[in-house]
Amino acid sequence: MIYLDNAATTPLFPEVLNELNENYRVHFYNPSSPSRESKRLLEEIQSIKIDMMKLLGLKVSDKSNIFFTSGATESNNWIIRHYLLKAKSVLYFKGDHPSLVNSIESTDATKKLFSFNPYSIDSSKFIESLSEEIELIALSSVNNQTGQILSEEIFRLLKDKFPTALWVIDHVQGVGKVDISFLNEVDAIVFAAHKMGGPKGVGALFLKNAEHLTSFFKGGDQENGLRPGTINYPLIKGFYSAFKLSLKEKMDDELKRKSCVEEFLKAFHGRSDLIEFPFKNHSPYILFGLVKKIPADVFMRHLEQKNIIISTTSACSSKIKAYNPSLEALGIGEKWHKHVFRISLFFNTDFENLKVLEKAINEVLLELKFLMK
Amino acid sequence: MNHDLLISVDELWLKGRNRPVYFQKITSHILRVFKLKHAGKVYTKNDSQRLRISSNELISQEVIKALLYIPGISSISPAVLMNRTENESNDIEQLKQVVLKEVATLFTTATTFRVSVRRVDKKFQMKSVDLERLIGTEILKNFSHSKVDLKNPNEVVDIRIQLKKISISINNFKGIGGLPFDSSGHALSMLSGGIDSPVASYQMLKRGMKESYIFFHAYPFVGDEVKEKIKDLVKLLSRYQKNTHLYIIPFGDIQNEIAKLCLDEYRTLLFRHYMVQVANHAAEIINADAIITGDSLGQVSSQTVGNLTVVDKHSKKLMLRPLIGLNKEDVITIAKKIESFDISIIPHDDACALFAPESPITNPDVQYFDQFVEANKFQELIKKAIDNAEVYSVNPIGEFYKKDFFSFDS
Repeated sequence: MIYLDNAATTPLFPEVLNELNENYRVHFYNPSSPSRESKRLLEEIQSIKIDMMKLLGLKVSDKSNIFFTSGATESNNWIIRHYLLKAKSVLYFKGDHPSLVNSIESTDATKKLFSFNPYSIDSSKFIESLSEEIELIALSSVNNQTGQILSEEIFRLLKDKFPTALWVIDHVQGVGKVDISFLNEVDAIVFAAHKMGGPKGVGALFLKNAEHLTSFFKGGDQENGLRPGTINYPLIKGFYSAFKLSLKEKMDDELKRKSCVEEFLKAFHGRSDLIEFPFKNHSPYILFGLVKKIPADVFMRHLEQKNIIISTTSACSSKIKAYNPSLEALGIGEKWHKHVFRISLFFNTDFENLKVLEKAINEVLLELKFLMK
Repeated sequence: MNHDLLISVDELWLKGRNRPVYFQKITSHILRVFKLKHAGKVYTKNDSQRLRISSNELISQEVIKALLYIPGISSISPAVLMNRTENESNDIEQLKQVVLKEVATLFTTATTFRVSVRRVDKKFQMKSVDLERLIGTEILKNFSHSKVDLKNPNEVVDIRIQLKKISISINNFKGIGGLPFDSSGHALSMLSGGIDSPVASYQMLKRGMKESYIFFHAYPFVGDEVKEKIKDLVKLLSRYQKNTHLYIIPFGDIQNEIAKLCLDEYRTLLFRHYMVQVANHAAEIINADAIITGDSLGQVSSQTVGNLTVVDKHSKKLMLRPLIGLNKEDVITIAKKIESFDISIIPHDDACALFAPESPITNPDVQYFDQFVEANKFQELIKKAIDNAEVYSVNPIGEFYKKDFFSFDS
């Protein structure tokens, strides 16, 4: 089986699986209990937080903190809701992950919401034309469907125009995969373990300044009562290991990956009547394509029969048939909404896998020729 | 107060010497529903052309609702039971009170009624007509807006004087009628996920057929989501039966093969032919006598007389098409009544639409058709499809049990 749906979730790094096993067996203590072992676990979590910030290249201060959550959805909901207690206007993108879009759009009607596509060539013009004051900007570093990367140029334009705005960056598809130069200038960063070879059910919320943070759950005084609930040491430790491995793999992987992805894409140049990868400047881990003459789900299942797993749209929205507002926002016309597919890679996806995929795609296109109208 | 249920069986006058068999089949079906939905003990008794069900526990509305799906039941009346004493005038006094209490919930607005008394125990002194008049007067006194109508009343107050008890019933729920389940043989019904096939299945269930269901799943052309829809439809149809089975046949390979080999305009017709062929094989294995489809004449291009003829010619099993002469509107009315309509209209990927040729054949060249099916028997592919079928057994409360292999056991 060649698994190419890593933007939905990744397999565990084998080292992480072993570590989880060990920690669930031995270090199952409640870190909030008074025993010596519990205290040791709590201390270790504190040092994990600092190390994670450092490894991401973030400045560590008295005010900065990382909260471990159940995943990026919780992190996004939490921080958006907290910032919206004060901020009155939001700049965001309707084509982003639903945990961002729906957190923002479910706010009360008094807030002013502005959506724009930060990856389109018109985005700088849009920013220039914005006459309103913006108090909160929430965007993804890497779009989860198309893999498009938020450019430093767009970030600078926004930062210069709205110097006091609060920034939330959803970095779920970016950690260990794409270099983002401006992370130190944003207020909140969200990421999750299961997109980087870690376990499902644990995510992070980094805050440059965690003072006066609002808690929406009431419970015990873990994390000073801000994120109550038993601290899951084994899960956090697994997250940390996957995080470290991802950053290390990235170093080894980067050059190699870029060239093999380029080679793969080159094989489909000049065939845009059948298949096209329309976006430039995307993460080398996410390839967004259009298969023009057959429905993408039929295409996807034919690859599945050849033991290759890809996705049609992001797993969160693949149940929507036909019209998809998030694709519309990404600039994909309704005519193509049933024709989009996503290939997403991980560190274990090598050049050979892409060769097999290329061959399989060609076979499927040939097999389905009789259905093309 | 506990209720008995009085159940009338439909079309009893037609049944002649088969009457005991029909009674037995309906009773066994009723007991199956009780076993699944009712905790107490249940007793059945013939009560002058009707079936009387008693229980030591209160029979809930939910049980009555489930019983109303049973084919062959014409109506169900819950009956209150009152103990008789040695003293007849005391009994009559108590009877008045019970009737007034039972009537109270029904006679909230102006209505017409009739009282019908039968003395099973002739030792009861007062004559039936006199008792009818007495009770009727009592009701009129207490419910001034009600009226007596002997010929065509809205409500009938049915009183039976038995040896030890008096039974009173007023409410009457209509069943679906027809013939008892499994009194007309076993059929394999072809479900498509559309509006027609569940209605066709329902029509034949009413005529006393036991049904199994077959669905042709066109994976990888269609996703697995469609299976949930089919299961939801079978769940509705399972309410009418003691037990049923669903066979999901992987059909993508066969469709692919047909599409590659045939003239484009014959694609849909040949899909249909091979579906009927697979259904024939399946019917043979599960001992089904007939195949049911939801065809309605001329509705789509594959449902012309010419197309139906060539498909039927190659089917060993009898093809039943209960909707053949119905208009779409009539079918939709029934679909709404049996609650399948809202499920059927949920959009699903449809391989037929994907494969649909520009202009499908309506008047097929029999020679071409026969030659094609003769040259392409697809024995291997059909065997493989049947061997890889997903099989579910489904009970009347819609619980699915996955089976390991293709077989029928009830």
